[in-house]
Amino acid sequence: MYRYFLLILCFPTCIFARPVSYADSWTLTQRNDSFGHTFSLHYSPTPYYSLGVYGQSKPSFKKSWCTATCNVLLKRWNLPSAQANIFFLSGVGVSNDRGKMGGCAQCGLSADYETRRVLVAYENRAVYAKHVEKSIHHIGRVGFSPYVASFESWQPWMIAQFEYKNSNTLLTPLLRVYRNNWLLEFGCSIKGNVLFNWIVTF
Amino acid sequence: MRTYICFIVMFLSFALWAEEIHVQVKGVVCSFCAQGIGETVKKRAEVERVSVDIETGAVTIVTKEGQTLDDATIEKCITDAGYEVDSIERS
Repeated sequence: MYRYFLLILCFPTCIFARPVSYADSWTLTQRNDSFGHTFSLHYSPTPYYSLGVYGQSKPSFKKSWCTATCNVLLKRWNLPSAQANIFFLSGVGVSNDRGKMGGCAQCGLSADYETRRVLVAYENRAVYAKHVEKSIHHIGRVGFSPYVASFESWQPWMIAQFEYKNSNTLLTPLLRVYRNNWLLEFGCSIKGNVLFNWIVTF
Repeated sequence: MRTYICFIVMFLSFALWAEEIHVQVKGVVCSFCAQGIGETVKKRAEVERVSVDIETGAVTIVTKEGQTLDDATIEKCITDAGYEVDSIERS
């Protein structure tokens, strides 16, 4: 367990965040769960697309892949008290299986609908990483927040995350907290897998 | 003479006032939204401070003394942050 926490603190990995942010901003995200450790850093020149890097390492850290990414906002609905988005995700790069290198490509779609108290989100990502993995990863989320907090206060969210990847399904209840430009998520799947994600925008 | 002095004083007072602008924005749902809007608006040299009420989607912009922001500039800032202006009121 101690080794696990050391690894998630020291190894930059990825998350389930909006893949495009506000104009001239950076977003750093990291996700750690039973499927591995994922890292993403992207820059949004405009609110319509972002460029960056996205990589994933298997839980053992012996296999990994990394891509340069281009994410595009396909459609956004700004409503009086809600927002909905559809994004296209893409990337090409390299994979690494214990020093054996190969090509890698990924693409997917991400959609979300969020009010101040309710969220529904879905993301899929097809990955071809030579020697490492061929997969389509589906992630769905539903959540609610008991109250709306100010910018300076922590706002909690209770979220249920459903995943399907390589014939494996996983349900993970998790707690998300927002404050300022930070977002943290902690969870534990029904199979006992720990989840820890974080995002910061700047 | 007294009229001229009054006019000049009123003009100077107006010119030195900071303007408070209330913008109702569509799509604001979380602190990341507030961060995006705040950082984008604060980049304008005319802006003294900005606050975002996440619960209502109301954005309050206070300009520096003697400066203002026109509606088109405000709309561009909000659009660059990824949101839409619903209404703009000045006080």
